[in-house]
Amino acid sequence: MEKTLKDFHFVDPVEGDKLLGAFRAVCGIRDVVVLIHAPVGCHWGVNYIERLSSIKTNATISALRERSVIFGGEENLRKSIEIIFKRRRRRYLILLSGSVPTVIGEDWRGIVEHLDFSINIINIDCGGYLGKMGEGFEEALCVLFDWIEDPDPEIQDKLLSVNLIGLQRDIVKGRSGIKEIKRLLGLLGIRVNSVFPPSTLSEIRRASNAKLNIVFAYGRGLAERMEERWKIPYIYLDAYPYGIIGVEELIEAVMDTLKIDVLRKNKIEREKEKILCILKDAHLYLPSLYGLGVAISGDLPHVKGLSRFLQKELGMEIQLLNITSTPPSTDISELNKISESDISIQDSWHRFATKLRTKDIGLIFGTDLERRLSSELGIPLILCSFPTISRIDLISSPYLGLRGVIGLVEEIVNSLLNYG
Amino acid sequence: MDFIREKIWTLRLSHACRFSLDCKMFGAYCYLSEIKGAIPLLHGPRGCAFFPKLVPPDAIRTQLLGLREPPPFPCTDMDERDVIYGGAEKLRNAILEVDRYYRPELIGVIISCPAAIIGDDIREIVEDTRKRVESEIIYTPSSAGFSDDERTDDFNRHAEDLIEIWKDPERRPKWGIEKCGRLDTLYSLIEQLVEEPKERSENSINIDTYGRFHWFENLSGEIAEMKGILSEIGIRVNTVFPGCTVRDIKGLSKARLNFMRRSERSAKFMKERFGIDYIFDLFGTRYIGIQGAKRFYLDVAERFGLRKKAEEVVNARLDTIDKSLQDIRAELRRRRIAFICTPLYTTPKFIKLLETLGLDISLLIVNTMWWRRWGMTDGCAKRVVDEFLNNLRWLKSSPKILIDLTIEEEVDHLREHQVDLVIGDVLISDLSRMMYYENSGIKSLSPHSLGYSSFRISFSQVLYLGEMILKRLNRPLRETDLLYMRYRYHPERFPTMLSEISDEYIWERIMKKVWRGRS
Repeated sequence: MEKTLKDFHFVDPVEGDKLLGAFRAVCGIRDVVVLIHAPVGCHWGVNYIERLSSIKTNATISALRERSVIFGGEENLRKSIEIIFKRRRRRYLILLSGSVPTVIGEDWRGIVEHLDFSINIINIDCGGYLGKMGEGFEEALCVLFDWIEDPDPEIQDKLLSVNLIGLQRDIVKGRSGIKEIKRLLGLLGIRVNSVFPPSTLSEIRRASNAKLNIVFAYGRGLAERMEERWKIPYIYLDAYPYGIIGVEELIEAVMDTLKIDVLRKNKIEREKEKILCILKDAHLYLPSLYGLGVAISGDLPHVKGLSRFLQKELGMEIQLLNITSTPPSTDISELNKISESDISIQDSWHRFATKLRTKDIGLIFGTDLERRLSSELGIPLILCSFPTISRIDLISSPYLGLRGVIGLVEEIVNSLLNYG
Repeated sequence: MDFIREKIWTLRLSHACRFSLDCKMFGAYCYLSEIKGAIPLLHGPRGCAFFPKLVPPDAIRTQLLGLREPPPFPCTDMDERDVIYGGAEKLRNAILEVDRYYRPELIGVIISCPAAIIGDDIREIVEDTRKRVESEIIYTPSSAGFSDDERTDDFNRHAEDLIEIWKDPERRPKWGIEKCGRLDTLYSLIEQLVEEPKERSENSINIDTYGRFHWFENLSGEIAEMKGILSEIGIRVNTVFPGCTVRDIKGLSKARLNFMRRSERSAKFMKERFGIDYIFDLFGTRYIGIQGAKRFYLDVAERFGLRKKAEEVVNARLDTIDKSLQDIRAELRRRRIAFICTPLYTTPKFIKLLETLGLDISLLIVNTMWWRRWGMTDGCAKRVVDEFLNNLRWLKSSPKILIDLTIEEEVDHLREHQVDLVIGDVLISDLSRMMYYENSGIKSLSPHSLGYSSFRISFSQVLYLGEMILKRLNRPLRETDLLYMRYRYHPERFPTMLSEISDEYIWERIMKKVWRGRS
């Protein structure tokens, strides 16, 4: 019988903990400061990854020390908040309480109540021992609900707009992926109102003006609260819209829910034809991709979306899947149905690596953790899922959506042509 | 290629680590990563063990061990249940499994914040498992991230230490950096791993090296030179540590002398336990330049009664160096330079070294802003500058001395003085500064960024410095209009962009008032 994760006694982690997940969701919001209430190192690690992921982190630390463990860290917290907000008019703070204050049981509310100024604050208990990255990401998205304002009926009635929830900016091609989905929805006459994780405070505040929430794996809790409060429906997709099939799934779901005229889909159809036309230049290479053994390592929506595209649309053979993180509501037993290939779920990295060495893999889609394996085994690696800190992308050429089909095929072919 | 890669690592690290500081747990991971065959094992949550693998391998690992990737970082994946009921059993099982899977020569158990707070008895667990594993095993008792290290101390104390050492190189530092996470781990390794020697190796020395992220420095070159010269004198290098094997650490006790550069506590331990005498040079200030390197070999040889032989060997080496330097000196003679430095990081001896290369230092710009931003008081900064200048009285050049200018003011003065070259040694952003000066039409050189370190004990490094300066002087200045300079920077804090200035202020205040401050 195969061992499950619980049968092993150590983990070489493929994901961060709750603190990193929450930090990823909220550290890049303009006008909102993130304060990690913890020792310096807790901030260093998460900040390191996000800054190298092209996020302008708006975060700092309450710098707890030995004395804080003995006497409490409330004074550090009070002083830090005063330093941050003393000269600001807009005072929005997301407090991420790390392992030390959560173990010793600190009262942040008492500190906030006794400040000389008022402050909008959201707290998330983020001790590393309290959960995995996906849980932190999900919870942080969910609590942003507290800052969403009631809808403006004028805007809501005039515009057909949606919110995109759960798309990640802090990965390679993340921003261009969001742009592409906005473009595709634009072809249907739909405007994107807000994206979560948000990049500005106003994106949060105005979120209730949307007619629909589109949840991409993460953020179901936020969508449910918005539905309950403002009757905004949501659709839930557990895979990112990679490939033509992925785009069709998204478009159908949106059109059905918003009752959009079928004729509007013509623009999408024309766009598909354009993409196929461009792809003709790579036509000669497509047979070489057919049957190519592939390993994919990344978080759930990437792995699901990509494996579908690579398998169904390019004919590659998915030999190994490594799901590094998932939203907390994911039914793990369901994941085994993604593909017939070998699947590791939030497992230790060394076991994934061991499996990969035994497979006939010609290409890896993955994270920076796979870089070492890629060079050791001489297999090209295409970075696609968090963390992707060893690559920058400045030009908008997405992996998601219809343009993503071109982007991915180009990347795959060039990787194979130029490797070794 | 390596140079470019390491330059990029340096730039990325300094970008990613702005407005943040690492903790002792990470220091412990780094030190263990510098021992071949060691696997660090964290007793803590997965998040703490996730990010270190994404940081480039440190310089000792790449240069001395030839390893290009950081080591794996398995952990016990501590969860809420462990925090409530204790994680001892989990750690015990993890040690056994890490031993079976990785087959390491050493497992280094590192303690995280939650494990330290709940008080799992790591020592008992390690002792209990010791006989059940094939690898050696040690633990680091104070590696929790909240543990204080030397950076939380009053910054001014360290400045005072250095000032005293400028005055008298024999002076012992009062404060030191013993609480650093790396040095804690070194101590643990020595305390728990070094074996009683079966035999002593006559005339042998252990050399402590350092330089975690100093990819730009020639660490291996320094060690190779040391080994060569000591061997000629008749002294064998028993072990260079870290950057060695587990077996080497166990055999440290075979040596007769330790040359320690960071941890006197470890040196004292080995003296008490194994009777190994030591030379301690905490801030790397005793043996700077050619005369410093000479003194190093004489000091070491003295301990073995080999001074005479050392003088022969070193003098022969000096003759060779001197011949090579003659041509360089001839070409550098009376070339006017400006030197921009941050005292403490730059020592008066280094400035003397520049002069002995034949250069005329016509402008000396002293910059204390970086220290003050990191918590040095204005009074202490003034004292540092006074003492620094006091130690420069013997300079043959008579430079105009300017203190704490903005980068724009610096360029105005550099133009006015019509210097041939500006050499920068200001601790951070030297490459960016070099770009700024050259874009303003002034030739510039940052020796530190190009592989030179004044703190390395080396004759060949001096030659390298001379060659580097000469090469830059002889290479024409290209006309540039750099994209890099099209951004708006804070003039006093170049290369901080104006858009980042408020983050920087907040960060500095939190460091001063919250972290180092008295709560």
